[in-house]
Amino acid sequence: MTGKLSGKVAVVTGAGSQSGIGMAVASAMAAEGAMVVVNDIVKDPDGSWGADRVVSGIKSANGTAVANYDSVASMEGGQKIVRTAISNFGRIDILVNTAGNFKIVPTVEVTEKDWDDALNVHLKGVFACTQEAVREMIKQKSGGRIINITSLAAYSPDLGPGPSIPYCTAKAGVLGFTRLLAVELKEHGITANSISPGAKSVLFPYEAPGPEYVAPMLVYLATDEAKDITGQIIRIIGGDVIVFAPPMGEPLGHHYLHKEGKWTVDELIEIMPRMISQ
Amino acid sequence: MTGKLTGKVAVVTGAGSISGIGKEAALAMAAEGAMVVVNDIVKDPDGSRGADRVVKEIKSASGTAVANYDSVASMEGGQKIIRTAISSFGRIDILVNAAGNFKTAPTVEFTEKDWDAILNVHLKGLFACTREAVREMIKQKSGGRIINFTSVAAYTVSMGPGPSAAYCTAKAGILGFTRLLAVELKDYGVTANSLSPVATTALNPYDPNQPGPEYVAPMVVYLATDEAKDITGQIIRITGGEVCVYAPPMGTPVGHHYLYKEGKWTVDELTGLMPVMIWR
Repeated sequence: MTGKLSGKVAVVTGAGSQSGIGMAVASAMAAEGAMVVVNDIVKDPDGSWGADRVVSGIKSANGTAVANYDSVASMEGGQKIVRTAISNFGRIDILVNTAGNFKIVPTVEVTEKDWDDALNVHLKGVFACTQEAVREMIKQKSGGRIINITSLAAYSPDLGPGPSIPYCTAKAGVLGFTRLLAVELKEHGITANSISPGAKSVLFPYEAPGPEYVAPMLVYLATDEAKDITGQIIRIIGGDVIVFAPPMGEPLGHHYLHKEGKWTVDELIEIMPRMISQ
Repeated sequence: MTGKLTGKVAVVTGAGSISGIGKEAALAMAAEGAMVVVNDIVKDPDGSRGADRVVKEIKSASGTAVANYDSVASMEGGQKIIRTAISSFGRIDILVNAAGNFKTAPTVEFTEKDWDAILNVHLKGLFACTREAVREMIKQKSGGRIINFTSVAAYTVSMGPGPSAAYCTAKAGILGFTRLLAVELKDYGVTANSLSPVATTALNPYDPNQPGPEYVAPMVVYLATDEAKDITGQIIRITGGEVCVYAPPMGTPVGHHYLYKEGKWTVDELTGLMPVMIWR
């Protein structure tokens, strides 16, 4: 490796599972010279912390890392995770929000607890960690990187393994959150991007290339070279890279009609069947 | 009007404000013959219920409506709102989730309380009302309509003083929610669509030159008709005379920038490629 992230401090949430994108990116960032906070609440089957295992792996490859075991799903947890970077390494340059959960349930059977569990980790967790990280980044006056994980489930739920409306809602929410951040933080040199990965992992044990295919994109976004890449939605799965057209953006490729004045229902009955995207 | 919704029962949440999309949708659906539950927690300046004022207006035009004052922002509230339709009119065919709130503040200053307030109304509220409505619709075996409101703030950020991260998160979340619903409920004849309106309302008073919420109502009515039974999973912008059906976000990569290689990308390759791949 070539030290592309030397001197930078990264926090990766949800980086402690046996096989996952968080673990892959934490290892890849450390290999490029970043000092990494490896966060996860998960434990291995033998009862030891997953985050400790990943930290050991990084250290045995001569990298620098510390573990943190707080849950992202509260404001206090988010603050503690980011403070771990400050107290150990003095700063934070990169936040990778990969902590997530997933459960398949038909919508009419989703319980309030299912709903809260998903939205607390994916949305409040992203907010909690990001708010604390951005506060530091603005103080540091040297820019920063926020990298969030969305999913095809945000807009293309072919139901793959089955429906999960809290997951679809949360992963779409991440896109809105990240886009606002990109606009709001531009003047501070902080970028914010959403990654839609496809990878076989503990959370998604389906046939797909491994999470290691995803890691280089996240490393890239964290480098100085990517300082102008912000507000993007990027899919990476194996060798495929897609930068999606901005949802609801300029009506390029959209179906567009205009009239002077108010549409009537009868007119809409006529035109709408031909306006939808099949 | 021509009775396009005669015999149908509609619930419109957040329909009690002095000027708003929910109110206009409720009035327009009642004018087409629907029996309407007008839901809102809001009170008028004189302390009376906004929902009562809208119900009165519907009745004085010979329409049928009842008021409900529960908050959408709890599972119990959502259930009570839907049960009002069942107990008053015996069924529910149409749910229009128009209840919303708005707050602007920089992300670093946004409080947990404000975050929760925005997400509870827009997301838990949507879930609470929709789950209960869909349970009924599936039992009724005669299809149904779910109409939700997103915003340009979901992805393109331009609203009044600038939206908050919480509002953008919530309005984007609605798109994911609605899209899954459309796929999942297709078998039951229940459609689910997202409308992205722009209108000057009590909630969005920042640019008085925007068209009024009455421009949005015909689209809501249309989506509720039998004619719209095959329109589902769409994101539709309506503001004044403009209608735009957006291309599916993250959909088939028409118009996207696409690259493929055999094997794993390196950071160096990406460093070279990505600046030409992004959307300006």
